[in-house]
Amino acid sequence: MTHHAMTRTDALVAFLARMLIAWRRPLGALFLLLTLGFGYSALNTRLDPGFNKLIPMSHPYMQAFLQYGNIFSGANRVMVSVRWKGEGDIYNPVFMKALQKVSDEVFFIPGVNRGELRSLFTPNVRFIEVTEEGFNGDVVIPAQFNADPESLAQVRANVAKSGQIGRLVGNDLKSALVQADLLETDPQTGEKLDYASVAGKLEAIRAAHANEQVDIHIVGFAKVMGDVMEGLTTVLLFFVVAFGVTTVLLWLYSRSIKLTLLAITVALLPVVWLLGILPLIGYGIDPMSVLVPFLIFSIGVSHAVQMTNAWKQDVLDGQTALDAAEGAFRKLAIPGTMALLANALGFLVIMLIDIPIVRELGITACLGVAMMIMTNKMFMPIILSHLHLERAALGRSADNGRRHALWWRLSALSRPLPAMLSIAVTLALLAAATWQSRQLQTGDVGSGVPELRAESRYNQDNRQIIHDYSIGMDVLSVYVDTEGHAEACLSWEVMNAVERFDLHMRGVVGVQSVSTVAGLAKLYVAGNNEANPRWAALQRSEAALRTGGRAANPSLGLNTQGCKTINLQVYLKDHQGPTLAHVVKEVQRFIDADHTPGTRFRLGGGNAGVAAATNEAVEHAEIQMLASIFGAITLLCWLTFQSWRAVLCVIVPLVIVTIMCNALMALLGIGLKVATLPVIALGVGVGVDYGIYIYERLQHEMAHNGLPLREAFYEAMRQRGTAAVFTAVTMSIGVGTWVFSTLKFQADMGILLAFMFLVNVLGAIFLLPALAVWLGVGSEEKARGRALAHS
Amino acid sequence: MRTRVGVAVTAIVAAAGLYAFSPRSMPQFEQTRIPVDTMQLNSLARSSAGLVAAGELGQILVSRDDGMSWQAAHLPQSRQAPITRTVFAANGTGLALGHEGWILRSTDGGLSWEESAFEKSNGEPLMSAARLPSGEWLAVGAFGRVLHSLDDGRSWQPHVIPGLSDWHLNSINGSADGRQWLITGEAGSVLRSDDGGASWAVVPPFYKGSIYGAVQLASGTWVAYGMRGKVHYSDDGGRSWQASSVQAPISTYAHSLGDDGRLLLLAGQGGILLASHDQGRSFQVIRKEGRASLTGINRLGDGSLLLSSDGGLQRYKPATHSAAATQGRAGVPTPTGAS
Repeated sequence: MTHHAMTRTDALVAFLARMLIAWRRPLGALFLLLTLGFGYSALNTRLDPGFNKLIPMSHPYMQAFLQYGNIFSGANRVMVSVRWKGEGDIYNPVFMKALQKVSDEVFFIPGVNRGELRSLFTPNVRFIEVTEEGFNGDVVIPAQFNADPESLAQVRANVAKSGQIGRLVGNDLKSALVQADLLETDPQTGEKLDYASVAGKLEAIRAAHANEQVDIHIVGFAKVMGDVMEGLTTVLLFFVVAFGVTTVLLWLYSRSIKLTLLAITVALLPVVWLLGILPLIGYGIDPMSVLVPFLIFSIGVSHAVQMTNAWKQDVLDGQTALDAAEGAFRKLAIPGTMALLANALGFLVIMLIDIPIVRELGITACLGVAMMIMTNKMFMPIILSHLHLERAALGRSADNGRRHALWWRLSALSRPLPAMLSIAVTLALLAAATWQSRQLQTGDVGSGVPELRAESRYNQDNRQIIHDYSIGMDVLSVYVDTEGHAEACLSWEVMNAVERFDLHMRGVVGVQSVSTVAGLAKLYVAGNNEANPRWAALQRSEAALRTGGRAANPSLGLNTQGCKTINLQVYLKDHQGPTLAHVVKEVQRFIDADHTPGTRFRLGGGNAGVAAATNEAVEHAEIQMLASIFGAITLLCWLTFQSWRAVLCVIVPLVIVTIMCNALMALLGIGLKVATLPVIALGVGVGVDYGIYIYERLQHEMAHNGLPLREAFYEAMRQRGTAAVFTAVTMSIGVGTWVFSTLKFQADMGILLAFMFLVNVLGAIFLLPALAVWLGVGSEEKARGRALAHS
Repeated sequence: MRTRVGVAVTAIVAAAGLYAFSPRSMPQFEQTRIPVDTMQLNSLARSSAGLVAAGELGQILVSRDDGMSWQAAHLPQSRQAPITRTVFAANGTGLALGHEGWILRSTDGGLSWEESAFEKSNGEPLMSAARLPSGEWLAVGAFGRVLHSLDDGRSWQPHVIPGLSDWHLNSINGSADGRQWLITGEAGSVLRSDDGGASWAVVPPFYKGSIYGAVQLASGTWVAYGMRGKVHYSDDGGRSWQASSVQAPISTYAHSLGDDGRLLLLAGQGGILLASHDQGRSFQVIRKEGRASLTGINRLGDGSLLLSSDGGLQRYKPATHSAAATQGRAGVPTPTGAS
């Protein structure tokens, strides 16, 4: 494009502005109708959480997981621990009665796989005793159990022989578990599992049975989902708070009730439209995309403020509302649309993260921004053209003609020496931030469920259960496909490979224990030989392997029928990113070195497998995402400004703030994960607005009005700076309310977004002019102005 | 000139960006090792090289620093069969016995091993071996199998002891002077020898369960230990046996004798250690920890005990009163080497 073309663009914009004003009545009516329609549809918006939405579907691990995850139970397990707080251990009538009731009530929760329910009171929990005469076994709690001292002693002895201490009974004999697996779809009705209802029922069990003697601890994915959904309801409150704070700030800023109401309403419109569209395209709001209405509202306020600001300045200069509205559209059409496109790009690139929930977030946010181009850039000038500014707001024009003291002083930054100071400070900060950002971790940091805060009831329960029992919730499943064996678990080669995997993984740092059919088969072989540990072996002959064959019962969840697929379960000490990466690397090392014919080891399932795949997807997407967003924004800036100096002035501060954001994450112990990676893209997409708005004015003032750099920057700040700072503050407050969310990931997102919004405006104000000086923008634009004058 | 400064700043920022977002290094994890603390170990013995632990998948590990660190011994090839026991004789020869008739031989205290025997099919486990005063080695195992070697463990031949049935044999143990010997096994099987293992006599069964090992105390009393808390003692060289009183109904798989030949420790299921101060008449529980079955006991220089189990190595520091009793020089290689 040439400068000639740019004037053509200007002409087009001017034409559009005229058309908009000419057609303002029918267009206004259309927009009103749309709003009513979408508003009605928005009533159908629903919450839509789901386990599968969190999975990076195309990751190779997840292919195996989706194939086998449903076969092997335990992926969707709920554990209810009944803990005795009184004197002595669990073998007393009060506790046993409570445990029996809890066990019965869990049994009747819809969605529970009743055959797989395990507790001391279920018939599938048995003890085996080796005597001189042979085996002797029975259920742990006999049918005629009546809680008298004699039968309690009997149960105590049976439990000791059942090997359930550490599993169904706490290591300190002060607690016992009820363990249930949930079915994702009801086999009878085909209905999808209602997580909220399961979580509610579990909470009801806690309410009914927890008292001064008995405590109830509950863990499991269903409970997490229940708690997350409950946390989401508080989001509405945050929205109200953000809305209120924004309104007050808007009023303080504009001193005009009309403008305040207008900005708020127009900012709300795309939110209503968006919520109206979601049910129409079959989407719902999930824990992550609930962010979008906040963002859209904040961005909407930001653009509305720029628009009302431009309009007001013209009105104060004596123009009519109609002319001022046309003028505001003309002035803001280019930078506003560019800024919104940059936002949309930010949302678009987060779709590079191959996880459905993130993609939905991206799509939803893109839609919202598209709506905003209509509501903000078209509907708003139409309303403005009808508006009459009240006297109070008009009175504020008294200072007209005098320089704005703060902005004038600040514009000194566009003189070489102060600019050098600004650059020096920035570089020092950059050095520190760069160093700190290297400490950033991928994945979860800390223990417990990352969605919830460390001190949440759920994570307290989780800690208690991990403390009381020898099992945990962090399981990595590795699947072995076998081929060419009728009964692969009777093939020594296959079983030996599994046994070697078992031993190898136990030596890996970060692994707590390993559970495989080979390990179990050895126990059964030893069991057949009086439990003598020296017999715990897998011998080469099929006959010998058969003595441990009971271990290959598919109902134990370690293999399918005939051991076509074997499920190797690796229990981890935690699910922090580095631990997962290390363990997965070690699994891969074993797989690479092992060439047992007829076997194929595949990573991986379990919640640790999902987390590992997610971390890899996130890590993989990070560079791609950053490269795309910065590439796209660079292109956008180039198209807008036609100057590499301009591109650098806008992009360089953005890069620095992005590095600082990583440093902040490392500092606050926030990991790079599904919830936080999109925030960086969003922050960049939104943060570029300030630079674009300010530089656009700066360039305009220099090229069209021939102002020197400092005067031009001063003008840019006077016209746009106040609005930019104002919007940065309101947007930060809007997302900043999230810090108080009960959901950890929302709080993390809130902190980071607020940081990005706020610091990006500082970058645009303090660094942009300094860079402009030292990149020689002044002389370039002078030349450009001359060229424009000649043409 | 001015522009150059700006470009330089841009370059610095670009470099910082590249560095900040380049792949981040992971925190270093300790290397994957052989999991001595969680693996199945069937035997813990002391040799000229140090401590030797062996078990799961044919792993043999040697520690030269009282169990602080372990290194894998050198094996010609791994047969992946578990080692059931290692034995080091006074002449320096060591044997490792395993499932599938696997026998390994070492002359450097267990640092490196040569394979003497292995059966790919129908190989049943060997459970114990001993070097008799004559220099002949005897190895016993499942289904009443007895092997002997006349060339210090290099080659092995089937051996017949008259009167032996096909019950599993679990141990062969000798007296300190090498004169009296006992072979114990399943269904109360006991054979005894008074002539350094040259001839054997079947002891009439005094118990119907399995006996896993036997040891002679300094007083001459023999103690045989087995299933479900069943321990017996004999004051007449193994001819007649009486039941000991044992606090815990657990099977015991290993023993350790104090330096004075009086304090006897037995180790078994449930991480339990039993102690007897009265010639094996009664045993008290001195340790009860975890769920593992203990398979070996070794005294360390600091008075603590190193225990092997099917769930890895464990350490146990006896309480002070019993520590005084068990205190003594580290490692008492008995002629049988039974752990």
